[in-house]
Amino acid sequence: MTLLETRELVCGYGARAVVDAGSFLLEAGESVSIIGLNGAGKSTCLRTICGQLPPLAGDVLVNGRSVAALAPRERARSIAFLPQHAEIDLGLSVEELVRLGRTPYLGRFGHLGPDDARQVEIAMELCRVRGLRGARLGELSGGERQRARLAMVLAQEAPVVLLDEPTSHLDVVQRFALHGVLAEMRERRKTAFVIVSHAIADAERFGDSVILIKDGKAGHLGPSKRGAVRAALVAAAGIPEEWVY
Amino acid sequence: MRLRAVPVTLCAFALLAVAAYVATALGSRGGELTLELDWPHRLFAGADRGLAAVIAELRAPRVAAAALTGAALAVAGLVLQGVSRNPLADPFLLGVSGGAGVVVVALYAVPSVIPTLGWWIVPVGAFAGAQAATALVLTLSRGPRGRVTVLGLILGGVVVNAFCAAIMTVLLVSLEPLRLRFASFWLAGGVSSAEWGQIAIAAIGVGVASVFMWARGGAINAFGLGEEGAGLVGVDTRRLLRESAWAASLLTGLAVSLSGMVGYVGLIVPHAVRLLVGGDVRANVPLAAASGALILVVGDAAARSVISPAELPVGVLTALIGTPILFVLIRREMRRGA
Repeated sequence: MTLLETRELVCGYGARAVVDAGSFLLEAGESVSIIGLNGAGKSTCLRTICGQLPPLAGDVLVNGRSVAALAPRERARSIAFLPQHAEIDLGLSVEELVRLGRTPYLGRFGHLGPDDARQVEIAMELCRVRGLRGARLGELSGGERQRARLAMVLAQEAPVVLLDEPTSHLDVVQRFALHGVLAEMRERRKTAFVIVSHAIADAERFGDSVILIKDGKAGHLGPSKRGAVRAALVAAAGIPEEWVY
Repeated sequence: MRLRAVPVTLCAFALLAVAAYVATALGSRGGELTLELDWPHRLFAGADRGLAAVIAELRAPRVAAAALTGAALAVAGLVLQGVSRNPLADPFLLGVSGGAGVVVVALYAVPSVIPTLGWWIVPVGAFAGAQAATALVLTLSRGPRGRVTVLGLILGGVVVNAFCAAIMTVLLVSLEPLRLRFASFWLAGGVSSAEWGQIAIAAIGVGVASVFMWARGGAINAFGLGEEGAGLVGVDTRRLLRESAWAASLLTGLAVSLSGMVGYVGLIVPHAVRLLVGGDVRANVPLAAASGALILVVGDAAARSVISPAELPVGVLTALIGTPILFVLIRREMRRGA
């Protein structure tokens, strides 16, 4: 089943096109990595796919419906996005943060029901932050905070999840723990992921396929294999191979 | 330490009921301060016609006006702080009260307006003035990328307040002495005995706006993720900001039309409420309403008693208590920003 589809998508700001993202399909349970150098337009792509930026041309479809045409609530139920930077109130507790992931399911009077509470528990369990539920975000380490943010995104229960540099502040242990969580989500819920990352390990270990953005154009590199991602980045940057690790 | 919201809120409403009962019993006879705690008995026995009239026309409307003013300002401050993520947002500091005040003073200054159109023009005008001031402050405080900054809001508030104060002074000097005395008392935040019709209108307005913001509380919570983050979890942020500005303006306009320029209630009550039960806006709205009402009922009763038989405007009391607290809050913000 195709969850996410882009058609002749061009992303950018105002009149300035940044990336010609072209067309690609994402099936349930599948994951794709987007790689490229700084400023290549990876984040711009994600922000366009999740509907934060309007496409300059083409269209993004989730379950066959154009993202631009969805109401904000419905869009948030279809696509979740973890941006790289966010101005989160650090006074929030972990549990309060994860509960905010249920915002698209608020009732008429702004209330959450028992199903919401269960989803919050499941998301915290998956990301191993249940023990930190009362801790404030300002008191957490970078890795813990990132797991809490991921739990919020998972609590949103969207079939498509976009992650922008989810591992950038994580050490190697935390990084592989995060891969584990994402793999579990793909397995159990058939969530489809789009991951932007600088880390070759993310792209190689986690993506089924890889998209390289270079010179304002997105190109499908095909299935991710050990070495292929590294070679592509080396070619894109025009640098000696030993610089890339 | 955080307490559970529901019992604390029930306690606050119970305290409010007690305070309202005692405040209704408080009055003066022949220049002496009296406390007639048996007033319901005397009222229903029908033995004391004079007391019945005093309560129905003077004391009860005044207690009701104080309660509504406090509830309105507290909820308005809570909403403004929630959507702007700015702990210093307050209808008085941001100039929203000022905008409402200008219109009300203007209505009183032109002799025939209120008798011709009816008293309802006062709350309607105050709402319009509050709405205009809110729009002006929000425009002034928009920084790069449309972000409302703490500094921008405060500076916008300073500008709007200064402008409103200037216009009000111009209007006031044109008043005859008796009206001027009344207007000064009102401007300093003096609760007066309003018409029951006006109280009813205010009660409906405050009730509707508060329930509406309570229902939006879950969405306002999402502003803790930043404006962009709130959009990502499905909040229509522009619409919510617009709705909040409308509600805060309505609440402030009604408060100003009842009691003039009472400051700091909208600033301090939300902080106290968050300290007690945490930051969930949905839990905070009813508690803020009850606490704001409680503080002004008690404050107004105190303002009537301390220099009896003369009266202080309750706004003077809230300013005396509120200014040091504002000082502490500003210090904390400045340290955090540095």
